[in-house]
Amino acid sequence: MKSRSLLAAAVVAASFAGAALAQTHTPGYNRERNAYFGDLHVHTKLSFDAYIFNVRATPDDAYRYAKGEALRHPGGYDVRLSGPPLDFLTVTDHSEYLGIVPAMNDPQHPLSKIPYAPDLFSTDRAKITAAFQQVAASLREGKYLPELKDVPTMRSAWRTVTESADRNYVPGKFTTFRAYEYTSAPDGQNLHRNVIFAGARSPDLPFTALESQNPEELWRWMDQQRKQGIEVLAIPHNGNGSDGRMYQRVQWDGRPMDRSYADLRTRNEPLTEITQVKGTSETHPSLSPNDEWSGFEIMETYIGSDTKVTKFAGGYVRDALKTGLEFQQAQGFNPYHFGFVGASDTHDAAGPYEENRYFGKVGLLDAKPEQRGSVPAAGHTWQDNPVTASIARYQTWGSAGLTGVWAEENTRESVFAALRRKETFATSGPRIRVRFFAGYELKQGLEDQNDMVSQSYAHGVPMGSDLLQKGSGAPRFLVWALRDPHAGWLQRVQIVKGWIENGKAQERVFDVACSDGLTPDATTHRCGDNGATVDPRTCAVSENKGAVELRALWSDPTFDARQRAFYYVRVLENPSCRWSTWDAIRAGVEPNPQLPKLIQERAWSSPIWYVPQS
Amino acid sequence: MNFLRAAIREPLLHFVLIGAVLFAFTAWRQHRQDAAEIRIGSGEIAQLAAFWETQAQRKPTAEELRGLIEERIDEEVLAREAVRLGLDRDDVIIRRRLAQKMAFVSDDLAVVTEPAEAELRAYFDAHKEGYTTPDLYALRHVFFNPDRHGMALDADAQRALQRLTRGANANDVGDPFMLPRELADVSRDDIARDFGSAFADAVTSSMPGAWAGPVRSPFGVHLVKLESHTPSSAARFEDVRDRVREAFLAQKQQETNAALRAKLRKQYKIVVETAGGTGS
Repeated sequence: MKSRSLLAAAVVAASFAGAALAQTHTPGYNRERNAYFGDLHVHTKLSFDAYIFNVRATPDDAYRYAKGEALRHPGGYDVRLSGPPLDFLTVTDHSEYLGIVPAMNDPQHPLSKIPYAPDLFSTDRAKITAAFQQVAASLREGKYLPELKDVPTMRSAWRTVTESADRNYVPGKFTTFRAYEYTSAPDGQNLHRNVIFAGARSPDLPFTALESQNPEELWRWMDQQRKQGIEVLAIPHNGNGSDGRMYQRVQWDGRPMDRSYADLRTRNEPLTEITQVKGTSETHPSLSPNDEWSGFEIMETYIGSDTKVTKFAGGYVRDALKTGLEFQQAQGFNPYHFGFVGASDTHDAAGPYEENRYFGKVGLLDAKPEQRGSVPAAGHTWQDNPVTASIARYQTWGSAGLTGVWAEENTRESVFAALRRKETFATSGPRIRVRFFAGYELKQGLEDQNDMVSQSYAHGVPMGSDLLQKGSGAPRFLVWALRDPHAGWLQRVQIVKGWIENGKAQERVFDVACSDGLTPDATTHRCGDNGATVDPRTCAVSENKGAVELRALWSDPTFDARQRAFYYVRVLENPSCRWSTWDAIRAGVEPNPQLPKLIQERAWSSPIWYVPQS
Repeated sequence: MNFLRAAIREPLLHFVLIGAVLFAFTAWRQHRQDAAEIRIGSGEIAQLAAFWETQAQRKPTAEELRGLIEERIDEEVLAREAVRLGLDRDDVIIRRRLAQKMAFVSDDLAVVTEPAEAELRAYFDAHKEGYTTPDLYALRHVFFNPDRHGMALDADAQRALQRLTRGANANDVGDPFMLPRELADVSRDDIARDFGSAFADAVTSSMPGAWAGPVRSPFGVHLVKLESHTPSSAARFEDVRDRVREAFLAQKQQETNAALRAKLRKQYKIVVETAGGTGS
């Protein structure tokens, strides 16, 4: 008996040792870091709005879709990734009224007895809208509807979210995080954030915008979590729908910013979402008149309404980075020192990342091409097509983006650490990989060496970092972009620079690598036309145009060692068909003349900040 | 006239008439006593008031609250009369709602108990193929960028293949490549996700230990060397017990729900009229 239990103990010890060994590194571990692609912004039926859009998919379903399985769309058809599975995903349901609306539709649940509950699920669109507006109004005002504040239901829904995240985590293969969306929209101005927990610990209930619409209160709550050993970060999104409020120059209550505000903010928000279905928030043509590529998937209304945005400054990330430089220069702190991620914000539990397989993101509301303005209503042509407010909105949306991270392995620890240090990039959907380093010791010819990445890590800093001034010379930048093997070819790589001159932030876009043997013009800093074309009747692209990869070791020709600056990479694919053109071709109709037929898919690296030492 | 007189004297008629009067009287009394109750409880009144408040942004006055209650009573009366007249019967929305309600009740009843270890083992044995690790490969490759080599792409790759075969260091051959040049413990699917299916098939079927190629991928061409191939292996029960338990419970829940529905069905004779005739 004794010997048997000893043997058992030995076996247990051995298997623990095995597990510990296995946990040091998962297969695929790479000291020079791999690019992993995922979506940090996905809603399921637990979100009040998704459920009303007739979405019934659960968090488990969202992970299944990300892992490559088919999912039934509320519109009655199956959706599935055509490319490889995603490497990571977070379900970020709205924490406000989390799980409440599904409970209202459960006849056994007391919440179903609320008088307007049946209206939410009626077949009468007007009734649904009226009931929905109740909830939406409560979010705009930041006040609970008392009859919907059912804490046990919200707690149990949050448990569903966290348990599903833990259950679907496969170290080395597929990473998940416990997460939710903090849905603050004072007066409809969008200040939404996704809140992401590092590990398998999280509080009992999220901190919601119904506790406070002031994000500073959220950050203080996050600080509290961190004190208790729960690591967490937040990622704001849709600055484009904030009417200039997301990256404003003052605190919430209008007081001037100070260092402690900047510290509080940057400690909790190392990243921001630059692109998603509801538009791209890189920059607006009015903010960047000299950037020919600034008008990409622009949304000019508030979120979920037709109110027009009037203030673009303060709503876009390039502008925010410039604001940050000005603060740093004038006052010694920078509230906007962040990296980039891309996402879907799908409410279908499934992201529409591919233009030629777009299916919208609000369940039944934009499930059909007629509902999203890519095909005219039955019996109509583009000349007499009735354009409802919702069509006008949905037709301006773009297909979903993705987040890329540079991480040693596909585990929670490694991916979260990459998010923390901002070694991230965003794409408009294709899995374009982009490397970006800066340093003073990056040697001439480095871009042709097989070990350029290890050398760059050894002698430079990667995307998301600060580069401290060293002497009076100019640093070098290594840029390397690789196409998505399942998408288009690359047209050019650009570096977007922002800098301070006489106290004011300036910006300029430099082409640094061109496809097809072209080189950037020395004065305009633009690549010549590579002649890539698209046949708008078939979406076929020209053969043998564009590059598999583009590489450059670049020095800034306008570098001034005394000027504070940031640099980030933008990679552009050759033009290709927008989702609305694909929809029209499938339906055998002309594409909507109000919409662009083509887009240029792209990727953005997180910035590197040049910090002069005065 | 004669007929009428005769009828009045008919005892059977007397019997029927007296019976009818008695029946009407008892039915009337019954109705008076059992008049179905409509009770609007204090909890519901509070809810009506709360709902009103969220719309009007203030509490209802006593009169407004009375109005809300009156409305609620009317709703209840009308709903019950509708049911009494059978108006609920041909309404697909009401039918679905009822079915949904019943499904909620029945799924709650079907509680699945914690499985015994032996059950889990049996399930694992029956579903072993779902728990095997796939074939795993280790490989090296070098890359040739078509943009750099142009027309000479294949010739350059062939020349490099000869160098590698003669023992050249792989790090000195080919162009820089962003994806790892060495892969270990990867499945065919892992290779396919980054390099495409054609590349994965070519690599996994090549002879271990020797440089081969050129092999095409969506990036360009590669020379590959399969270092090792570990055939798929079955998992040990102990290592996957949690996954087995979860799958087992999910299946049990489905079975229990299905069994309950089947039992309910047995209480009905189900006739389906197909276009071709009647079948059941």
